[in-house]
Amino acid sequence: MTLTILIAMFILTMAMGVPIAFVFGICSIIYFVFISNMPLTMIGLQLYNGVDSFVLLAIPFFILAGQLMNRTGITKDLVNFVQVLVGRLPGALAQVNIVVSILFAGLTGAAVADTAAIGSILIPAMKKEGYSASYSAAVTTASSIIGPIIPPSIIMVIYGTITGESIGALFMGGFIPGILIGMGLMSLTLYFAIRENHPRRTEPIPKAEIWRRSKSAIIGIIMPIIIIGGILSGMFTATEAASLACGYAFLIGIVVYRSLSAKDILDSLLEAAVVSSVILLIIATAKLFGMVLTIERIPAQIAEIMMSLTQNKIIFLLLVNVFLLFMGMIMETGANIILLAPILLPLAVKYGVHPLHFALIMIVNVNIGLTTPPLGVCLFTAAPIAKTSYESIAMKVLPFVAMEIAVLLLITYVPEIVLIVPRLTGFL
Amino acid sequence: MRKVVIFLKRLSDQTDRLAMWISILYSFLVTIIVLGSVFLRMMGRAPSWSEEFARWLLVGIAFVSSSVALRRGGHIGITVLVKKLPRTLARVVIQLTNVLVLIFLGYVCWFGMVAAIQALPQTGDIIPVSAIYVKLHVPLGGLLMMVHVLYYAACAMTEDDPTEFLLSQ
Repeated sequence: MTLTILIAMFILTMAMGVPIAFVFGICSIIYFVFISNMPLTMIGLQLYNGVDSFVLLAIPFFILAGQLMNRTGITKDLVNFVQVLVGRLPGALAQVNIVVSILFAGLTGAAVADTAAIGSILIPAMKKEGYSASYSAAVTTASSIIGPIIPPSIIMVIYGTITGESIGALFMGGFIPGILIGMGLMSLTLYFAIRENHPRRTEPIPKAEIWRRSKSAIIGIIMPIIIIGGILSGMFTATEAASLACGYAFLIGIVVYRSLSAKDILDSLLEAAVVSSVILLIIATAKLFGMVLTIERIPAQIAEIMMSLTQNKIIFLLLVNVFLLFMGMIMETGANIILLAPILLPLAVKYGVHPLHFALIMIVNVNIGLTTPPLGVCLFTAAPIAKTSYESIAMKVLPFVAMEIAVLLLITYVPEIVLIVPRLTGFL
Repeated sequence: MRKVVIFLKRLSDQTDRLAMWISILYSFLVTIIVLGSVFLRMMGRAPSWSEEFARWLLVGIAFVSSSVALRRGGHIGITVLVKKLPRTLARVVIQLTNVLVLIFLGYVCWFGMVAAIQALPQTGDIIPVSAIYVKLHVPLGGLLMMVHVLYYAACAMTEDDPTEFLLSQ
């Protein structure tokens, strides 16, 4: 009965347009006031404890580093550099869009930042070359999800905080799945380019120009090396490495590019705080709601139901993927991780799935939800940039989502794709 | 009613400006502290208080900056359904949403304050300052958010298109 009331309240408040952080809060309050006899003082304590974490500090740092780097003009340099690499392939700008997302993934930990930064440069450029607005936005949106899969990644920081999994190991595990998604999207783009005769660059770029573009791009590519190298060497925690990335971005923007104004810095600091607060408030209230679920033994009930459905690992993983894809459609990625990882991870371990492998399945899966309606956050971000409707992008993005699901199934049933890099780097 | 909307707008603007400057300050301090402590550690002089202080600033960012996000409609939610409703029904749903959020924020303010007062005799693990100053950020954030929700509720009642004043845009 309690479970039914909670689910009904949850769906109703979400459908009414209540922001997700408040949905968790409202449902928790209803439980505390009307259903349980828990002391209400728990509310203040749990909200505070939810965000009192040094590891979570990596979130504002990764956002700040991404903001600063973008304001220096590095995104344009990356685009120019990738033009050299894949500009002669059919559907050149679409291919550039995807490859830049792979490189940009090393600068940012969030998909929305990727959509906004790359989209604002490449969507208008693609439209100018004759691509439809919805297709340009669909390619940008679909490739944005590589951002949180290739390190650094905010969602991996959240996963590591919630489950205790090593953030370094999660970062390493994301490399190959991220690149595979990029390759999958590129092959689909190639197919569309040949079928619909999309334009490509025909004239070669002079050698001097190639050298100039490569030199500018290297400045951006060094940043992920600092982050990953710092963590791998064991010298820094993920939070410290993220703060170093901010220091590097400040240095580049002020000394090398000289393009960061005082206003840019103030705006970046504000943006880092505000964007982080959205995630942090969800974490705080989701922890409160998570406590409600634990008191009601809901994780145990779900485990019992799942175990009675199947004992087979392959079917279990399929069911989990279907469930997570559905949840990704209706709930924010961070909220999904905070709420579902503590429930599903112990269950997956019971079925014999490696915890790190399961982590990546879950992270890739919920990130796909960023591009699917009704709560495709990247679709919302891309629509005003492309000056087209949310619905038209949602339709065009479907083949790309199908490709991402195909890659998801590949990494689900071939664990080594995820585990090989952490193994080679000594995390396993 | 017009006067109430004007008053709430002014109040919302002023609280927003205050929260913005607090956010910038905390964001700046937390970056300097963690970055500085990394360099000092490499020189063998790591400050013991930096981690705790950085965590405290994060709590401030979580609750105070959330109010800035709320004023901008930056909190994530599903608004597709409400936007499809006829205008009168949408107005009712939006106001119901505002009431629910206000009740939740009321609880956050009250019990956040209770938790803060209880923390008065406690100090940080390393920093010898009362934890009340950190925990007060929870009710402060709740209060700042309530101001914005009240302003949005007043606008949703008086303006032609209530969906322009959804808490999540």
